[in-house]
Amino acid sequence: MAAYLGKRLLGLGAVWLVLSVVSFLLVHLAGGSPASVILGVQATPEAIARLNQIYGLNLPLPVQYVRWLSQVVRGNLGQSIFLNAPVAVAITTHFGVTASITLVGFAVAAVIGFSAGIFAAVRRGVTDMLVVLASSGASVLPEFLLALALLVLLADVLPVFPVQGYIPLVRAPGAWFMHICLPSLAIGLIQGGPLARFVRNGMLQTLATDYVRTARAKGLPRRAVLLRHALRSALLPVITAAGLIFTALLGGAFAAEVVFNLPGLGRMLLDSALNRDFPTLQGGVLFVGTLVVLVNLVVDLAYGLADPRVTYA
Amino acid sequence: MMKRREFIWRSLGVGGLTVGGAALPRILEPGTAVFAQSMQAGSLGELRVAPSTPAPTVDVTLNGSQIAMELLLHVYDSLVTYDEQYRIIPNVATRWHVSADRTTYTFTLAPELRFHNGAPVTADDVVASLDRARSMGQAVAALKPIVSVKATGAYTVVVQTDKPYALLLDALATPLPQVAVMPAQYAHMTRPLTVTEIVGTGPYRVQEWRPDQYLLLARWTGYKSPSRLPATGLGGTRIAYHSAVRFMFVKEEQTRLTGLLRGDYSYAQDLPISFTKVLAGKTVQPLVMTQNALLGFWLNQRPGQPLASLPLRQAMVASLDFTSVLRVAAAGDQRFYKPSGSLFWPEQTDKYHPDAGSGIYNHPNPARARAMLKQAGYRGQPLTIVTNHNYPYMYSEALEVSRQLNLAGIKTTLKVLDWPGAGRLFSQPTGWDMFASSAIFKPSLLDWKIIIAPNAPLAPGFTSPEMAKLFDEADAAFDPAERRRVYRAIQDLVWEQVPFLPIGLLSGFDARANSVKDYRVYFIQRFWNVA
Repeated sequence: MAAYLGKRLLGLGAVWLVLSVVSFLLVHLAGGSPASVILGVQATPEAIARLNQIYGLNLPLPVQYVRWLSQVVRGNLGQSIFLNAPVAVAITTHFGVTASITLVGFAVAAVIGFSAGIFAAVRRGVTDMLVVLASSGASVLPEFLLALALLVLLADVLPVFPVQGYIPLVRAPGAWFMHICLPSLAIGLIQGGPLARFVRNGMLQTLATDYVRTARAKGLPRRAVLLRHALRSALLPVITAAGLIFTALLGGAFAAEVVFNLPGLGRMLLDSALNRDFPTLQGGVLFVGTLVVLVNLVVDLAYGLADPRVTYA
Repeated sequence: MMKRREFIWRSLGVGGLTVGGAALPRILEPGTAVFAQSMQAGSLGELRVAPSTPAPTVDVTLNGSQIAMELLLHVYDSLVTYDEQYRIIPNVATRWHVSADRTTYTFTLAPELRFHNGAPVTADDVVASLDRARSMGQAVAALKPIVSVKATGAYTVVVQTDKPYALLLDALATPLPQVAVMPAQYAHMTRPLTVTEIVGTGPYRVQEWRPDQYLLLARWTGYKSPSRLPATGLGGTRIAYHSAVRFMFVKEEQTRLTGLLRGDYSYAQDLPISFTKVLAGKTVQPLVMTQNALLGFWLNQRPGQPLASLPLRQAMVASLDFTSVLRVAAAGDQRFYKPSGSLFWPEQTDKYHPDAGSGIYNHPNPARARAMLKQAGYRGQPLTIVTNHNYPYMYSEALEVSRQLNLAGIKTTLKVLDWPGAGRLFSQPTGWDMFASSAIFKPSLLDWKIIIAPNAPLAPGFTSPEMAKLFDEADAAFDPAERRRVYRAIQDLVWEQVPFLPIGLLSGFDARANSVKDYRVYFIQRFWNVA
């Protein structure tokens, strides 16, 4: 297990290096510069050149990359041009919002996905058909659209939830929940759809196996057969899907942040892209990429917990 | 039993109270003198405003964006400024004297003014501020004729120009780029200023800036209006009735609208025109921002480029139905557009030229277009129109112009980028021919110089001895009648030589809560003297 973990972490380093090159190139190939955003389109080339020099953007791209990477490996992601703060601090403060939405959204998706998936597999017939239809419909709905619909319905027509903004959990837990409720619901409802299908399919397969039939024949209670025997075996593909769903939730959270005006990582990255705030964008993309890779690693490790037959070599 | 005399007195008393009571609300209506006297600076709480975009910078010298201009006008003052009719009025400089040869301006500063850090405003601060604006940022070109700025007393500043320069006061008054008065210690900095260095003399000071979330301005308790004039335009007696103004940047338009309706903010900026229908019957006031922008296209006229050909540019003008383009850009709502060939707004009575482009502007003439195309030797090479998806009206404008030009036989291709990407392409010598833009309100001819003067940054490749001569004449036009003549001639020449393709006036759409009183629509959003 330790050797496997070491190997994966080493691989993570390589992935991270590729990610750094790709994020750096993507950001710079988009064109434009923060100087032209600050000074406006009418700015003279001299004024732009002067500001680019201040930000170190007048250097050749390879030199800029090496400079940036040498800073990053020392734990310094640089200084944000527009956020008036070091990039690491900006990421930390913004990530709290995104993490809140994503985790609560994940909980919403899990509750919906598991209950609907199990219900459909057990009841079959019309219930199954309705669950499949609803989950397919949910998964093609853009987060942005559902977020807007929830905003109009539950923040305007029925003014139950706040329209926008964020209160940190440590400051006021109740207000925190109210502020992240709609965005989490928007992304959780959508990702609950594919999760429900994964759970349903897994359950249908395991419910037809011999050991489940044996468990039933032994007279085990229905609840124990479903949850202890069938669901555990059905979890393996669901865990694989959970990694993908987490990534999708993260993407959904970015869209919800824009709609509900939440100061999260997604909005930060969007603003950075529009403002050509290269240090923030590079640092942010690197952070998100690393996060996704780590989540996949956790998913791989979770296989062993769900299935004792899985070994790590 | 009540005596007769007592009855009369009591009746008079009740009647008086009734009449007085009825009249009181009228007297206390916003805008009245009694109302103004009854209000005190800081007597109202925080006012929340929702602009659509965050300010890319708070360095007033470098800034080229409209949103940062609007925010910083609450913080900074300039030497002189504009009144409601866009005439120059005193501000930090209470008076000025122009020498007989018109090359020396002596400004006398308002005494006892203090910066937000408590330091007094002196002539040295003004000299340093002007020197910063002359050496870096947006105002360098406009201030180029200045050869020296000197303090000749604690409150006296002398500005020397290399030639008579009638546009100097405009250069010092224009809000974008604003030549702001700041403490010398910050004016000496050659790098972009940080938020703690944003120190002005305006009615509000910067309290907190979270660049992607909000800018919180707090009332400057040491504020002393430099002017005794009543509040007008960007100057006069500016009073911060609200203890703070919080500009909350809200990107999504539906969220701005819902937040306004729910009372999260009292003012929402830059709403889609289609929302006017949604707002009908609600507790908010829709505002048509009449003095907003002039839609148009910047043209690549560099040698070798298709639009270096004057007949081709004239053929484009002859091909276009400008009203139709405006209608598309304004989502079909007539309240939001106005066809106009003038570069200035009707409110700018001394500059507005209602007959500019007469017989040319908005007169589609296919025969003339064909003749011009023939004269240009046009052989069907496509023109690249660059537009962006950040500003939907620019996208619509480009789409409709492209459609009309194609119908007229001028082939076009659309290139849709984001705003910084479009800006980058614009800075390239090739790869584009027309750049969809909107010129935000221009108080003076100086603001047009960068768009229509020969080889102006926004008219690359444009050459015209006639236009150059007219701009020289404008520089020397101190006499109002002469200035009027030159300004009209310049606007006529724009339609003859087409250094820029003006489309017409387009208004923006904002909305305010009914609780916001005494708000007056101007070309920018002002939240001083607002109750």
